[in-house]
Amino acid sequence: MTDSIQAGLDGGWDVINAATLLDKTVLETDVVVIGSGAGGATTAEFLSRAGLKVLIIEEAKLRHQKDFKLNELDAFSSLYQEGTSRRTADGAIAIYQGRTVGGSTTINWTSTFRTPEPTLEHWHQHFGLTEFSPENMRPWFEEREQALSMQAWQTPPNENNAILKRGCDALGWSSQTMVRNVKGCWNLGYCGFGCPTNAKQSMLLTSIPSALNHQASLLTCASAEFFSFEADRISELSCSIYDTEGFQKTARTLSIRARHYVLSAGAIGSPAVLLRSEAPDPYETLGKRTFLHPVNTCTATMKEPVKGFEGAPQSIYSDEFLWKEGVTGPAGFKLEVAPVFPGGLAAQEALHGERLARRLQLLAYTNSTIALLRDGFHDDSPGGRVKLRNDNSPVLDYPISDYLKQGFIKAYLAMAELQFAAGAVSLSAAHHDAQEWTSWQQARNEIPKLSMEPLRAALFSAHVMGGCSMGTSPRNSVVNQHGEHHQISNLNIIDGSTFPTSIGANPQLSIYAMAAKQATHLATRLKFG
Amino acid sequence: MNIKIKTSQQVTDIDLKRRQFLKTGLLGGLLLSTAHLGACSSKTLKAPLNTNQYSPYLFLTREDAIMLSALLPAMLAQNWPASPLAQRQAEADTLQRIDTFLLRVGAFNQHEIRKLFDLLQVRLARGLTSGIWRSWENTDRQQIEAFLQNWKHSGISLFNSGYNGLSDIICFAWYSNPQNTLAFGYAGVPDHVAQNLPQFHAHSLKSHIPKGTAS
Repeated sequence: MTDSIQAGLDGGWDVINAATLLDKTVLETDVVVIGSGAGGATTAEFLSRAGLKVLIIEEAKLRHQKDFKLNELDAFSSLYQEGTSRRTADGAIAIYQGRTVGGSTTINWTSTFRTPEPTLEHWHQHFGLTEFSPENMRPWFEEREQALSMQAWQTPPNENNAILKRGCDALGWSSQTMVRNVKGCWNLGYCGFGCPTNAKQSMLLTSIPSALNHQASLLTCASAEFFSFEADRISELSCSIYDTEGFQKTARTLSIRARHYVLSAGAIGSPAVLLRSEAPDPYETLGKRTFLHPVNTCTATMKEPVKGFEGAPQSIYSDEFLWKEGVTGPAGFKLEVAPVFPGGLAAQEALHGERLARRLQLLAYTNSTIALLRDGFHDDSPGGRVKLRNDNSPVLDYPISDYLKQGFIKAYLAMAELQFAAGAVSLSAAHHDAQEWTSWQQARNEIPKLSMEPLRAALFSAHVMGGCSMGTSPRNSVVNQHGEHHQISNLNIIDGSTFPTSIGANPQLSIYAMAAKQATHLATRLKFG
Repeated sequence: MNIKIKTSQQVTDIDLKRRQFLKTGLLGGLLLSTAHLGACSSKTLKAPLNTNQYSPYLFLTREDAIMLSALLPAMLAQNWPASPLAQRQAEADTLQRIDTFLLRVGAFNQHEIRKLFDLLQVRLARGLTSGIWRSWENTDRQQIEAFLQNWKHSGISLFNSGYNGLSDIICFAWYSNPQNTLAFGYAGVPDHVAQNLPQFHAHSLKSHIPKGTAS
């Protein structure tokens, strides 16, 4: 088995660990891309293929196949933001974001969706975005689907996913097979640990190598701190340097001077760099309207073994409730399942002691159904706001509105009904106050009584979006439809932070396609502009 | 470090809020004054690591280890081993895993956890907030269980967060070790998979492509 990353490194790719650089090093390049995830890697690939000299900077260390040893402690603590300890300001929602070369694409579950048409139409109607009609986007989706081997999953779903399908079938709800970005997948189930077989066509194995093969450079363990400005231009980017493993910040700094700057640090990281820079923000739009697809969970015990730790983690989904009550109606939600590994299950359940011990003893019989709420489509779902803490690190303040609380209760009900319909023996909401329920009747009575006040329910998000909204007017957005900053002339923001609402589906392809389109425009502008 | 520090307005607002909150009661006061100290020190961006070169841990202190050891049996209940020998081994292993995990959560979380751990070690603060007045070694399982239930179901969000923090850290460290879940059907990466993956063979990591030929 050949690891193309190791081959590239041996073959002379320009990859530098910033920990090896002297204090106050200054680097120069055509374009610096801040972040190596879905937005940054795609941008770097398109710009370097167009002949521009690109420098990608990434806060984490380069980790690839040789490092993906599939144990939860190591994977979660080394490949995720804040070692999976990132949470919203009040602690109510856990945030799982990648922090590694390839960003979240290196640790995602490969679930692939085009941006739903109702979302694109909503953007057109409510935010004046004319560039992102389904017709305009189609060629970009097609190109990325081809490039990243995105195809409907042909292998039968594992039992965890089959339960979702069975429940939907029994209730007459719709369900579909997922598209996944894999090539030669072994169907192991370790996608969230960094793909051990190099099957996942993440940015780590596609756009990053492509950019590096086109003379791009990758600087790891370097974290963008702030821009300095001269008039309406960025004159310099100041970075801090981490230790060689990428976990502890050192006191050393470096600066980067470029013709053009692309911010692709994700929906928390990108606003954070601009906030630390005290960048112009005349209409106070920066960091606002940050969305999460907040997720709640029902955990069921099934009669037969499920082994939710084996097989493609997500292969079935249901959009039965996603748009049912209208795009701008009550919070719709997407139903999926989550893989069931012991450490993750323990951290997710909001339990301890005897009940948690029993839950883990039933590990192999556990189905974990999740609902992803579609946030940002209603006035009562304004999202959260990225702020800086005293130490200048970012935090997302995301109050849970009554609108979302109602959505969570409906989602718990749908999940419980589904799991019982699929044959669950008993189930519980992942919630401090939920008991183990043994019938749908009982769950239906008890779920509406659950308090959705902060920290009662175990909630998480793996999709942070918004915070640097795209729009046609500086009054309600940070960048225009090309991702160009409204006030800063040599800055683009190209990542999920520019979405004006959540997507309503796992967002990787939305980011890839938008980045491909915006980077193509940027390449033309930089070469001929 | 040449990093812009936010200006006084922001800091003043936060200080004001803190002072107002201090009046809300002794418990809140205790927690927040600890929080305040933490917030100040976190401005330096320095991780609160254990600098004692003789310590087996890089984050945990000796006092942390005693406290966490006392919490382990309550957190793991029937899954905690019965024999004293197995318990000692499990304790050592789990504390090491907690230490590794906490080294990687970033400076901000490290400060938050430091505050939480410190709160639970100062006798007066611990007694008032958790009801545990005796030292951790001398506190029985029922008292610890009562404390955990208290914090879990408290109306004060700081205690809920504290409960979530403690249970997440300890239970994740324990259950993420496949040795501890063998009996439940998860033994880590199956052998037949590991055998076919180069990362599990120390000598087969090099790529087969000679230098200079990558395209």
